[in-house]
Amino acid sequence: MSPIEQNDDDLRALRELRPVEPPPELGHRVWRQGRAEMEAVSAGSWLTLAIRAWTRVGLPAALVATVVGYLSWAVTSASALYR
Amino acid sequence: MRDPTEQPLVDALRRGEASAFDAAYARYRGRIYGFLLRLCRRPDVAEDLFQETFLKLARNAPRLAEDTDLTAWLFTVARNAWVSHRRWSMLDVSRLVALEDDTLPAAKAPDPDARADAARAMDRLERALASLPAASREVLLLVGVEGFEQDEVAGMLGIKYDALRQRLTRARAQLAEKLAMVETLEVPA
Repeated sequence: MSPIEQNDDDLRALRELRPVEPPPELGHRVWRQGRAEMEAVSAGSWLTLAIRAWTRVGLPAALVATVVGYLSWAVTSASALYR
Repeated sequence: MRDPTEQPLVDALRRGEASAFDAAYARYRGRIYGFLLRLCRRPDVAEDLFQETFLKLARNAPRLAEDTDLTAWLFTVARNAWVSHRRWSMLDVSRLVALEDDTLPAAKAPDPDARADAARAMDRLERALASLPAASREVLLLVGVEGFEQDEVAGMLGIKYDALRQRLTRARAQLAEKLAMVETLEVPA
């Protein structure tokens, strides 16, 4: 249970202390830097996603397609030699 | 207790939406800056730690857990940044002098407009709070000013619930004592 629910005047008085706004120059600087970081992280995460999709799906699929295509060609060519 | 209106904000942060950072910053900047300023009592340090806290949010937003309590997360990061700063300050000999001089900030000149009893009471409270030891200030800011539940604060500070209760009891006794001192000093001779 929160101590404030226990009718404690000292803690209740503390709740009256207001938030303190940062100085405008600091506030704007931190907001600007944070937003830039957030955008960089988001861009980074899209790139990471794209690389992961390529290495886990795209590249193996391309390799399989190449191998299957080559084997098909090889079998077709070998069959043609015996005809 | 977790604020249910936080969930859409956490979801947007996890998706990496820059507008979610704007919303989180607008919502928490005053509370975090006030917490840090009251905790470290030095505006220059509070400014650095404030910046560190929100940059950490921006960098870690996509990695937040789905059920993150954003308020508790931000206060924990801010508090840990302060603890880390204090640790490094102790190692930095050049800052020892500054730490020794870490007393109450000079009393502000009385504001002619702030004559209301409530304003004076707040001023006394701020001064009494600022004169407490760091560990007591920390627990009173989190439980009293920010209204976190005691078990949440125990988690944030990395201590057991019973230890938190003891620390809170001690802090309240110290606050009452300091308030009495501040009031005695204000009584005109």
